[in-house]
Amino acid sequence: MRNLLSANFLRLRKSALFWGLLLLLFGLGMLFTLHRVKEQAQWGAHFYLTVDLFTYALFLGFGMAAFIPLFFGAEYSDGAIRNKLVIGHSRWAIYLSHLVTSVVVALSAAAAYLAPVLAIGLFVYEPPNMDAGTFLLILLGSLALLAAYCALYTFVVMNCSRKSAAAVICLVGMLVLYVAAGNIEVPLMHPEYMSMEVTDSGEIIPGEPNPRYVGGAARDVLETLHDLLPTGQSLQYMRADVAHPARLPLYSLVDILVFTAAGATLFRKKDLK
Amino acid sequence: MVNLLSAGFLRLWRSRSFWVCLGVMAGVGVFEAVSGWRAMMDFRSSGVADAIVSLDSRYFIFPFLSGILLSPFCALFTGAEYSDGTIRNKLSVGHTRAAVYFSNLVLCVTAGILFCLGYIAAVLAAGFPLLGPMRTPFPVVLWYTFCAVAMTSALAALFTMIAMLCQSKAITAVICIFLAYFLLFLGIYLNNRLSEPETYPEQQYVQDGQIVTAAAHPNPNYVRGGKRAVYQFLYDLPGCQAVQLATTIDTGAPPRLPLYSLAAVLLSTGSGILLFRRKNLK
Repeated sequence: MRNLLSANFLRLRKSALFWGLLLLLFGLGMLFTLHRVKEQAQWGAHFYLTVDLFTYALFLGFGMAAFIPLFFGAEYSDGAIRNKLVIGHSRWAIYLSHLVTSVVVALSAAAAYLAPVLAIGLFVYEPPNMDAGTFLLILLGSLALLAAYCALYTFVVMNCSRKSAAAVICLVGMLVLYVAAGNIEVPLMHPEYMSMEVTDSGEIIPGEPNPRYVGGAARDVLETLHDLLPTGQSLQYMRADVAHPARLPLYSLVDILVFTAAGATLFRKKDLK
Repeated sequence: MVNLLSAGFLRLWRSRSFWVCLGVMAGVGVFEAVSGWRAMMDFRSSGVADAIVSLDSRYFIFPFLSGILLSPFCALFTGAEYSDGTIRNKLSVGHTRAAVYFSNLVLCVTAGILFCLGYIAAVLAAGFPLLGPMRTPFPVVLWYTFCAVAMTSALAALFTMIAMLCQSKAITAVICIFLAYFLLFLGIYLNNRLSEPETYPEQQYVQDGQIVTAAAHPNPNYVRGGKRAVYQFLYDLPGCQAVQLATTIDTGAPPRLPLYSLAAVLLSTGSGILLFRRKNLK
């Protein structure tokens, strides 16, 4: 396993794709921050540190969907997987080494994005508008989400021998999951009442109930689905508006376990020709 | 050229990716019609008077989808020519590089048009009985459809160029799909920026029991001058056009849009053939 990992990291260090991904994320972080700084200078607007801090959860969803098939798909096309099996590595070790390597890539890319945002943002933005515990939970959760994306794409790549097909499945699948998360979000956004009135004493009197409001068990199901979907989590982290910050990392862990268990099981049975 | 095309069409009818994409377009068409009908039933059951979901709102979605589905299709279909060595075979039996390029272009454009027609047929077949006839005048629908098909053809030309110049099918797929996403999101961004009002109108509001009047003031976000011209030019490009088409249904899409699509076809095909002629096919 250690040999597999060190071989992967060696390949990674020489990969133009890896360095390109880091550079892209660094550039995006810099671009977003400078744009906000310009807005602050032009209009006197004030932003919290969290304004673009977790946007990497969206970018890396797409970025890793391209990186993992291109980087690990080459293992099939070059016959490297068969070589690894021939010299005695188990399929599980190969699968796990790919997953660990891809998680390291995702975390490195997130660090590349965070570096300019934090380096400039800490001096020019307002402190986060949330307590330290919630902030740390959101940061941890967004990093766990990256691992969930890696688990999902590793599942696809390890079970699809054709690099191009794996790339298409990951990239188009990503958009499909975004559309699904967006569609789940729409009914959850409807307010419970059509209007609210505030009396002079500060009492809130609800108006007519909104017929489009989804409540009860249906709401619980939709919320759980939205939180379970990596793309649903991405949408929440991107806005730094997370309804259940403690729940999301656990759901990411569930995603990782499910995708990895299913992927490794299928890979063990796969005919590698 | 005729031989290349007949062989290409034979391959197209047997291509799994073609039928999957066509099936997805038709499936989404049916889904949109049924979900529109379900939304209408929900409105009616919740007591909303005159609840109507028009077929029009469901019909005008296909330009968003056609580019997204065409990008992997062109990459996989044309990319297979490289991975199977078919391109070299075609050249060695005497076909010119330009003929090989054109035949692939015609196949991808045809596939793009068929994807659009697949959606249109499905949404009309399912939507007409469920949602009733369209409300937009027929000539406007026809013009919109023409603009959307022209845009899809321009995207097909762009993806064909990438696929003919890049030998790795996987890299081609990634570039084409990212390009399709990028153009779509760029269109949404440009639409937001170009829709900003030039000035905020005068506003009155109550503050501490007093009526306060805020005078009209210029919008700092409004895009002006040369920057606006650049934004408008980008907004007219194929891909971004999908957003523009969706926002100009009532007024009718500007006549320049198909011209931009034609320009994109000519430019991408011209430069694609030039570069493909010089390409080392190993």
